[in-house]
Formats: sequence, C-alpha cells, structure tokens
Amino acid sequence: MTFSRRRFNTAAGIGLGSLVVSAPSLVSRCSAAAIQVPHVTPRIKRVIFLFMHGGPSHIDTFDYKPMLAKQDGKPLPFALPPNIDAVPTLMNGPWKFKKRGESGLWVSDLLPHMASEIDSMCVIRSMHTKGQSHGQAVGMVNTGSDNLVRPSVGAWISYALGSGHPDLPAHVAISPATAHGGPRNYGAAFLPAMHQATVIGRNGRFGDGKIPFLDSSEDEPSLRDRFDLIQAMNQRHLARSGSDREIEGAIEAVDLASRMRNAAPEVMNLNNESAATLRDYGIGEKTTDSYGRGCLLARRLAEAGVRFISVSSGQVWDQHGNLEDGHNKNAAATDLPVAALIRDLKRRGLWDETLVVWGGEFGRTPVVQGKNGRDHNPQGFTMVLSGGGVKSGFAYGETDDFGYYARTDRVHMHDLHATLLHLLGIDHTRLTYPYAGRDFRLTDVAGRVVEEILV
Amino acid sequence: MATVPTSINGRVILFAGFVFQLAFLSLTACSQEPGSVDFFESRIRPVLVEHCYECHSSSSDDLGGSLLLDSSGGMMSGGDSGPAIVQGDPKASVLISAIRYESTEMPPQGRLPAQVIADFEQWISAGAIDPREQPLAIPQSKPAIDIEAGKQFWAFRPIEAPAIPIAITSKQKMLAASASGEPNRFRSSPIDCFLDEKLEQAKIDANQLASPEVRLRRLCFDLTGLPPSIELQKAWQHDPSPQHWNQIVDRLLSSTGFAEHWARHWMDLARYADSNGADFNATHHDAWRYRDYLVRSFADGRSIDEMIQQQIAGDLLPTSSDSQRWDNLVATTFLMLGTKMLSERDKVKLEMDVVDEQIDTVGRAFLGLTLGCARCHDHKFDPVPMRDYYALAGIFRSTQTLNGESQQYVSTWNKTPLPTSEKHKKALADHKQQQKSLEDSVKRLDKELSALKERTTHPGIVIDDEEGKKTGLWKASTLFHTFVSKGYVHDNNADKGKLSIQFSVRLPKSGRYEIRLAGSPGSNRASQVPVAIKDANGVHDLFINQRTAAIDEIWNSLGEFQFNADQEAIVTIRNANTDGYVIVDAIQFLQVDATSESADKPKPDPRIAQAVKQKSNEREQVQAKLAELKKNPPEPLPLAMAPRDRSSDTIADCPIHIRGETANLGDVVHRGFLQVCSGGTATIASPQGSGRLELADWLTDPDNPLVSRVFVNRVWMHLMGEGIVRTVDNFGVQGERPSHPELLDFLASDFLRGGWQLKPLIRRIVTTQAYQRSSSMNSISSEIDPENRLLWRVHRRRLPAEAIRDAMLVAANQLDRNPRYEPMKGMGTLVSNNNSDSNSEIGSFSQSCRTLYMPVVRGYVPALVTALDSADPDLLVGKRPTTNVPGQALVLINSPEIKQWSESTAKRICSNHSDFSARIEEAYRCCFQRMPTAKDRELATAFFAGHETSTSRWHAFIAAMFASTEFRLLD
Repeated sequence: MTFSRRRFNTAAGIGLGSLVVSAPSLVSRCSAAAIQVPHVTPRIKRVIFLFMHGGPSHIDTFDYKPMLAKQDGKPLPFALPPNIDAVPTLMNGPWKFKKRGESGLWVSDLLPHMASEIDSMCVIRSMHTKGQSHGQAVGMVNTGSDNLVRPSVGAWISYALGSGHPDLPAHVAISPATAHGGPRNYGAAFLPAMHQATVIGRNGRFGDGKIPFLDSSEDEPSLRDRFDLIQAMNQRHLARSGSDREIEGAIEAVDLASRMRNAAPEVMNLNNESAATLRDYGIGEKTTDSYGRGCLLARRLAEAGVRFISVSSGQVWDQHGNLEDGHNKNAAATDLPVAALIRDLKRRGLWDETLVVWGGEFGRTPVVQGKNGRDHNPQGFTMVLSGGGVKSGFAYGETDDFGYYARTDRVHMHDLHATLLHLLGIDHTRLTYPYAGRDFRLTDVAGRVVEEILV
Repeated sequence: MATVPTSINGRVILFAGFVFQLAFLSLTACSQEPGSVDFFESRIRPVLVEHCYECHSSSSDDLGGSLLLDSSGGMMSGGDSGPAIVQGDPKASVLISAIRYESTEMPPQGRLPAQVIADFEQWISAGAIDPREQPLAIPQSKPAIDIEAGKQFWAFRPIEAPAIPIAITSKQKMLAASASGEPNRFRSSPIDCFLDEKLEQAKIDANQLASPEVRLRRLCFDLTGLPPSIELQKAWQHDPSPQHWNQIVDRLLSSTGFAEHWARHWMDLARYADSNGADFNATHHDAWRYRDYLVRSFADGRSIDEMIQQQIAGDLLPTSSDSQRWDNLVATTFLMLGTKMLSERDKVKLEMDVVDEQIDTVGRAFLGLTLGCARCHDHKFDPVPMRDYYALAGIFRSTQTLNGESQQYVSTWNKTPLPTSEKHKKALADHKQQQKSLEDSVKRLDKELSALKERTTHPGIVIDDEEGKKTGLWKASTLFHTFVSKGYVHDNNADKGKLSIQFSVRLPKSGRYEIRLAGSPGSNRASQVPVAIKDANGVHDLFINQRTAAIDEIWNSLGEFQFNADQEAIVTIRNANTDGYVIVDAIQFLQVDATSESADKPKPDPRIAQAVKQKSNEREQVQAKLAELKKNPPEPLPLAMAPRDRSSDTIADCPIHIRGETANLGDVVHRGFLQVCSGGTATIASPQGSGRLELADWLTDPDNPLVSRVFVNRVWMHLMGEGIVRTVDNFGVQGERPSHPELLDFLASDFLRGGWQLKPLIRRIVTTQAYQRSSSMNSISSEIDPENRLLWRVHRRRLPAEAIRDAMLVAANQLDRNPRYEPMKGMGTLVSNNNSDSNSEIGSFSQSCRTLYMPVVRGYVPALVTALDSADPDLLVGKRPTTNVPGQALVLINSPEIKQWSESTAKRICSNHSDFSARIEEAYRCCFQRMPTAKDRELATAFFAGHETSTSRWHAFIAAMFASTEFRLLD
C-alpha cells in the first residue's frame, strides 16, 4: 500500500495547494539578480569543453612546422624558457601532415577524424599561458588563475546564465580528474555553491554515467512516500515557524530533487539513442567507448539546456617519453568521439548555438625530452574551437618556426575566456562577484575578446 | 631574425646587435641619428601610435597602468610602475623591459620585432628626444591615502567602554518575566539593555522566550555541537529555572564537546586541512597536532591573546617547559595551512604567493581587513597603502615556510622537531647507527661479490641481459648474487604478456649448439616461461621452469639447435601467462659438434663458485637483519608543520612589488604594521628576527582597535546567527557597519578587561534574554525590521555539517567520543597518486568519531559534508554559506551512511519500546530533542497506517526525520 500525498496532507492538516511551493528554475532564481545579461547579443547558448588533460602536442596535431623536420636533431637556435628539463635538441614528430578539406589547413595523421571536420573548426595556433607545471596550467584553463582559488569557467557561466532546463543543473563535469586541483577545476570557490559542477564519472572514466545520489536502491512507491513524509514534516516545521526563507528553500530543494530524479534519467540514458549514433561515437568499441559516452552525454545534456559541460580525457596526454605510443593511444580514444560530436551537433541543428572547445592545459616542446618525449609548453600551443559565432576552416595566430613560442596574434588563456563569455553574450569585464573586499572576474584584470576569429 | 622569440640567447643578442648597428650606421648615418627628431618620427612614434596608444593615451577608454605614452611628459612621469623611460639609460627604462617581455609583456598581442626594440634602446640611449607636447589635460593621478583621515572610520577608532543604557520599559520586563513562567527570574543583562534600547526606539516588541525544549536544544548545539541527552532533556523539562540554565551553561562550557566544537570554528578561519590540495596534493602528516592544540586550548581556557601570539610567533616565544614549547611550535601551523602551488617552478613567485596567502589570512582572520587587495596597488577602499602590505610582506618573507623539495620542482614545507625525551632521542640515534653499519656491510659484500664475478668465466658465447632488446618494463636487479656479469632483469611478476626480451647473435661457425638460459632459481619464479628460438630450421617454441636450475646453480638448458653462420640466431623470452617471476640474466651458446674448440672451453673455477656462495649467504643474512631492523623502528621524532625565521643574513625588508610582479620592484619598505591602526609609528624600529614577535605583540595589544572587536563579533555570530557586523571577515569600508556599535565595544572592552577569555564571553551572551528568544516570525516586527537587525527574534540557523552528522551518530547510538590522532599516518608524500589511474577513496567516512576528527583531505571532502555546507578547506571561512540545492536533499535521502544510521536508530528505538506511542516519543526526543505534539502524532499515525510494526516503515520514518528541516535547523 502506498502512502498517498493526499491522505497525508489531510492528516497533516495542510491543503494540497500549499505543498507545491512555486518553484521557478532554482538555478535562474539563484543566479545573481545583479547581473543583467546579456551584455551583448549572444551567439551561442552553451559551451562543451573537451579537455585533453596532460597537454597534447600542438606541433604533432594542428601546428605544422616544416622547419622541425629539416632541423630534426639540431640544437634549438634560441634559448629555452627557464625551468625546463628538455635538452635543447629539436625533435620532429612521427606523424605526417596533410592539407585538409576545402580550407586546406594542415592537420597531422594523428587525428584523422578531427581532420575530416577541419572545415568546421577554428584553430587558434598562438595560445599562451603561464605555469610550467600541470597544476598552474590546469588551474589557468579551468579557472583563469594559475595560483589562487577561483571559480571555474563553468561556475561563472552558471552564475551568469543559470540553467537552460528547469530541473537540471547548468554545469556538468564528465569524468574530471582528481589530480591537479581536482574539484577546484569545476568548483564554485566563492560563488554560491550551486554553481559547482554536477560530476559524472571521474579521471577520464565515464563510470556508470550517473549523477551521484540520484538513484536509490529503494523501490519507487516507498521512496515516493519518503519524499512526501519529508515534505510533510517540513511543512509542519514551516507552519510552526511562520514564514522562513531557509525552510521554504529546503522544501523547494526537495521538490527539485524529486523533479530532477524524474528528468535526469531520461536525459542521461544513452540507450535512447539509435544504434547508428552509438556506433558513430565509437560506443561499444573498447578504445573509444568511455570518451564516446562522455561526448554523447555532453550532446544530450547540451540539447537539454545545460550551459557548460566538460568532458575530460583524464590526465593521459603527458608524454614526457614515448610520444608516439602515448599520443597514438590517446588519439585513438578521443579522435573519433570528438569528430562524431561535431557531426552530431550539426545534424541536430545544435552546432550553430554551441561552442565546442578542444585543447589541453598547454602544448609540448619541439625539443626532445629523454629519448623520445616532449616537455610541457605553455609558451605556445593550439586550441581548437568549433561551433557558433566563430569562423570555420580558419586558423589564427602563429608560433615561431619550431612551434615553441606564440609569436603573432598571441591569444592568452584570459583572451580565450573573454571570447567564450562574449559569445555567450557576456562582457567579461562586467561579470563580477564581490568577495574579500573586491569584485572578482574570470579574467582577473586582463582578457581581450579575440574579434578576429568571430564571424 | 623575425623568428627569434621572447628569450634570446645572450650570444645571439650581441651578434644581432652588432650586425644591426653596422647596417644601421651605413644606411642611416646622415639622416637618422638616434638623437634626432627624424629618428623619433620615423622609428618611434609610428610604433607607439600603432601598438601602444590604444591603452596608453589620453583618449584611451581604460588607461592601462595609469601610464600615458602619447606625450613626453607622460613617458617621463610614468604610471604605476614608475617612469616609463630614463633618458640615456635603456636598461633602467621600464618601457624597454616591458617590450623585451622581461617584466610585463607589452604589447600584449605579440612581441615587437627585435629591430624595433633595438630602435627604442638606441633612442633612449641617445637621450629620448621627443618633440611631442604635453597633452591638454593630464589625468589626475590618484591622491595618496590619507591615513589620519582613515583613522576616523569607526573600526579604526579606539575601543571605548560605553555606558550601559538603562532605558528599558517595564512592559518588556514584564513580558520577559511572564514568558519565563516565573516573574523576574530571568534578569535583563547589560547586553539586553543595549538591544532593548534600539528595539524600543524602533517601537518593536521583541519575541518572548522560546519554549524550554527549543532553548535547551539551541544551547547544547551552540556550545558543544551535540544534542542534549534524553536525561538532560527530562531534567530540564522538570526544572526550567534560570539557576538550572546557568548550571547547564557551566557544565557545557567545561565539557570536551565544547572545546571540540569551538576548535572547529577556529579551524574554519585557519583553512584547516590534512593535505595541500591544489596541483600537488601533498599529505599534511602533522596538521592534526594543530587541531589537537586547539581542542586542548579551548578545553583549558587558554586566553585568546596567547593563542594569537602562539599562532603567529610561537616558534620565537620564550618557554620554560617542553610542553609549552610543544604548544608554541604546533600553534604556528596556523601560518602553514594555506593551499600552495607547490609545483610552481618560479620559486620567487611561489614564495610571494605564500606570503600573500599568509597576509590575507592574518588580515581577515584577526583584523577583519582584506589586506590582499594592497598587493598590487593601494587598497581601493580602505586606508591601507601598498607600503603597509610590503611592511608585512617583509615580516613573512623573512619567515621560512617552504623548505626543500619533495621531488624536482615541487616544494615542500618546513618541519620542526618537537621536544621529546632523551631516551627517545637516543633510541632514534642508536637505530640510525645500527642501520648504517648494516648498510655498510651490504655495500662491502657487494663490492667483494662483484670482484669475484669478474673472475668468473663462462664457456661458449655468453650474451648478457644488457644486450637483449627489451620490450616493456623490465626491472634490473642484483638482489640474488648468483648472476652473470653485472646483474639480471626480471618482470616484477607484472604486466604479463607485455614483456619480452630478444637476443640476436651471429654465431661464428655453422653447427649445432646447446642454448642455456641463466636466471637465479627460486620458488616464486615462473614454472612455464615461454621461449622462442629461431634456428636454421625455423622457429621452435618451448617452455622452461625457472624454479630450479640444473647447471651450476643458474643455468637451464633450452636444448640443442642447428645454426648457420650467415643467419641470425634469435632467442626470445616472454612473460605471457607465467605463474611467477620471469628472470633473464644471460644466454649461452655452446657448440656441441665434436670440434677442437669444445676441448678448449675454459672451465669455471670451483673455488670461485664456492666463494660466491659463501659471500652470498653472508649478504643474505645481513640483508635479513637490516630488514628486521627497518621493520621495528622506534617512534619517529614528532614533527610540527611550523615556520621558522630565516637566517639573519637573509632576513630583509621587502621592496614594493609594483603591480604585484616579482620582476618589477620599487622602494624597499621597513618591516612594520598597518599605519591606520597604530598609535605611533607603524615601523618596527629594530626587528628581532623576522618581526613576527613584534607582529604578534601588535595584534594583541589592547589598543589595537580591530582584533578584539573582530573576535567578539565572531563569537556573537556563532551564538546569535549574525554578527553585530554582519561581514565578519571585513570590517573595512566595503564591509557592513555594526548594527549595535556600543554593544560591540562593550563586549570588546569587557573581553579585554577580563583577559581575553572566551568562556565568560559566551556565558554572558547565552544567559541573556535575547539569546533565549523564540525564532518565530512576527509580521508586525518583521514589517519594521525585516532583516532582524535589532534581534527582536532569534535567527533560525543551520547546524554546521559536523553537528548534523554527529547528531545522526548520536541518534544511532554509534558516536565514539574518543579523539582521533594521526589521521594521515601511513600516507605517502601524496594523498593519492597524481595521475589518472588513481581511483582510491580517501578518508573513509564511515568512522564513528566526531566529524571534527575526520581527516580533511582537500579535493576529497565527502559529499555528505560538502552538501551540508561544511567549510571549504581551500578558503578562510568566517561565516559558512547556507545553500539549499537538490544535491543536498539527494545526499540526505540517498547517502549510504545516512541510510545505515537511520536504520540503526530505528532498530534501537523499536527494541527499546514496543508501544507505538512510546516509540514516536523516543524518535522525537532523539531526532528533534522535543516531545511530539498531537499533530506530529497524527502525521505519524497517517504514515504508518496500520504498519506500526513494520521495520522498513520505522526505518523510513527515521530517515525522513534525518532529512527534514527541523533536524538540521536550530529554531
């Protein structure tokens, strides 16, 4: 026998009407009323960040350097940055570069699937950032700070825009790493806690693909009863107290949790996709299954209205040695799913209103480390954008002849963040939050919208 | 040249500069001398216009760094970093270091070509001829901070004990008395007088006292973080008199629970954690000692000024006993607990980041000021100039927080030995000595053995493992001393199927050979090692058993094979599907055809083999002794995570870091304090050491206007829900003003007069009427004072996460009141492997100790407490946020721990009572610390609806109580 809400409310002396606290989207309600967005016309509704944690080599993927092949084994003709272990001997990578697509942009054989989508990509080849170690650089790409505790990009976006779905969070992190700051990279820091990401899976592994604590082992009727009993007790508490924001907020939160329980499994169930789609993403194939699931879930969440979704590869791209084996393995795991995501977004008409960002926390050195590896290179690297508001089949910026330092049209991580916010309709200088005596921004005191790459 | 990036090899510069000068002289000598106007017009001005004016001209929307580059005056007077150019001296010119990307990186879009930079250098060397006029209007530079004017702000004024107002209406007295049920028993305290005066002025009737049940629950949770026991509930119900109240207050204040609960409040400010977090989650093995120190300090009633002094400068304080020295050292862990980017390779920057974190923490925790703002520029709101920040930075930079590296580029922190007994010290020294002597023996034996090895000869053709082509991770070893040449390799009994080693050899003669494989035998070796041999007839696969060795203790024969001299002989050993260690030491080819050579085979000398055996045995025995010794070490020396002063030759005042940059230094500032809250000079005349002792004295000087105000305000917040100054960490201009400034000063001066004692302060507050009021809403009062600033009611507030969890454990009768020590014992340098394979759960949350004793591992704080808004250990948290998000509800409903606790609670209640009504009563006593009302009983009856004996129903009922608002809110 189930314990009906009606019987229960009658017993508690509460009318049905009062139980259902009017619940507009929790997220939109809690996003700061002080922020009037959009500041500029939004070009996209959401961002999917495909985080290649560890730092893929730009000079072996999107930044073709013929000089590197010519000078293979010769000394670097200029000084290394400080605190680098690599010997200053140039090393050409094992992958062949080809001109791809109508745009004729160079992409190496390492990423054949992404290469086939090059005409829908905007390649920034002059990224640079500070922080020679993972910790700093990972912090920089995810939070805009290489040393201090700051809200993550997704948290800022959640704070500014709220969720596009009444019953789902605005910010989701799929398989994020526990190292290099871990939760800090998708956390809220001093922003309200609700802006931190809801986490699915960890360390590059999709896991069961579920929101923690959402599922219960209990059978549905008795769980439903318990939700009702909690709300009845809360209502009793509220009735005795007179109006109280905290109690009302808690009642609303239980209600929302209950709705999320109903909404999320539907959105998150990948079995709702056709066999063809699953195949496109490489789901079911051992190498691509995990990242493929992450990318497909990202698309489903994007479709449902989530604003910022990160899909982390796990910290696998860090090839200080065995560049060829390691990068081949990582490319095999991620290349197809990434290309599939772009194609899928296009097919569903979502691509124009979504921005996919692909990249690591830094690139890798053109000089060799050990026998056959490359060290970290924040001095110059590549990030790839694909989606609404940015040029397609377009490359911006240059590194030097060997790909060591970003040289022309340099784009700092702050600039990329400013540009993301701009595309979402937010002026990065006006998205602020007061904390510890001053107004903080994602871009600190820097950042420039890279107008040159915008459509 | 255009490809030369930011950092240029010195030699290249010289060369380039030389070539350039030659070219320059020959081409432009007549018309463009660097000191000519033409030079400026053709080479300098166009660059300034194109690359700099956007942000550095009088028409810029947002002037960068207060620097104008569109006039000669602007360049000379400069901006935040000082003058842009120094005529005749390019090296001293900030403009040059900026365009060279050596200080700031200008222009930010990309480095200027080397020729252009050289032009600028020449132009400055030649006197920086600049024909441009002053702009019409030079923007006003910001006026300097006026410290004297700043001192007029309320928070910086001296604390003065105000007169206690006496205007209290008889009506309110009556109300208070009648609510207590016994006329005039609950007297108005001075605190009530201050509050009532304002309520009266606002014409607000304060709420009556809350019910005794509500008040007792409030008091117990506020003072100890634990619910009142059922016995206490009953005793209080029986006698809710003021005398009894006071007795309970005293009892709670002297309980361990009090010390634990208030230690946790302090830990929020200390950003307490048992690991570093951030990029390199290093284990704080010794942080718990600080927690332990806090608990003991609050239990013993240590004065707050002493606690502050110990935490700032304990390592420098004079001591008369070991226990005092222990506490002094451990207390300074306060300065060490911030999260640090340990892998930052720029150690100068890292050091300044650590200093900044310390200044920010001390500033907000004790002074209620956001000093971090003054790192890059004068504080924009408060009278704190940059030089005050760097006066403090000098103190903290002269203090050593980081010391050494745990691995390349990764810093670690200073650890100071704590006092320990002579006996303990001797045991440690002896152990060290014994270990060294055994290790020396091993080394000596190793040497002797390898000398013997060299004399050992093997017949035939011997190929050592070093020459094999290896795939996968073979581990080199010399552990077992019967080996060929310098050692052997093994597969570490791992990565089965992934490892192989291949020997290729061109044999000198065609013929038949016996092949042997060397590998010291043992019972943990693989019994079926796959070997493939390619001879003249093709590939032969076979298996060998390495648990024994048939020949000379190390060799096993692989059989005989036919080889041709013009073909490679290939032997491949794999570890696929093997059931133990696979060992590869060497292989040997012995020609078996009857030839003359076989007769010449040198025979191994049996005496050498005998000697090797002896030495190996001896070595094994020593190794065993060493292992035994290492297994039973004496307790390690107790260490404190404590800073220390730098050596006297490296202690120094700190220069101003212009815009906070380590490469952009300004004037050196004498070490000292904040001018705005210092009576006389804020400079330390002659610092003893770093200056931390002087800082500790300055903070705890009774004339410091901030420290005591900030502290009593924090205590008030914990008891009353909001501070008198609601922005508890910010008493500056951007903070809120006190709702009751006189009351704040009354509390602060009383606190100072009483010797900085916490317990009397708490007693004073919780014995007021204001503390005991009901929290119920009153629409009339709410109309006048919706935010309850005048405290006409008590703020309803959330229990801290720790108290919620502890209360569940109490209900389940599972709370273990013993403290936990050394929570990180056995952890390595890192709390987890810093890689993607790490999937370990850290800090099991199923322990039944009080939550405060659970390890706080940054990055791994359990969902249960984060969902309930525990303090983020990355940050100083003066006031915990309270959120209501679905995630919180879901954790409360579905977390396995809570399920288990609610189940035990339900079981216990059901076994204590068989009667339904008695069970409901106990459930309410247990969970809400009150008796159920008639309506509560109706609700329960409706829920059980005939299933009163169902265990699962009882479980669900208790689980719902745990997840309800009443459980986690204090009415």
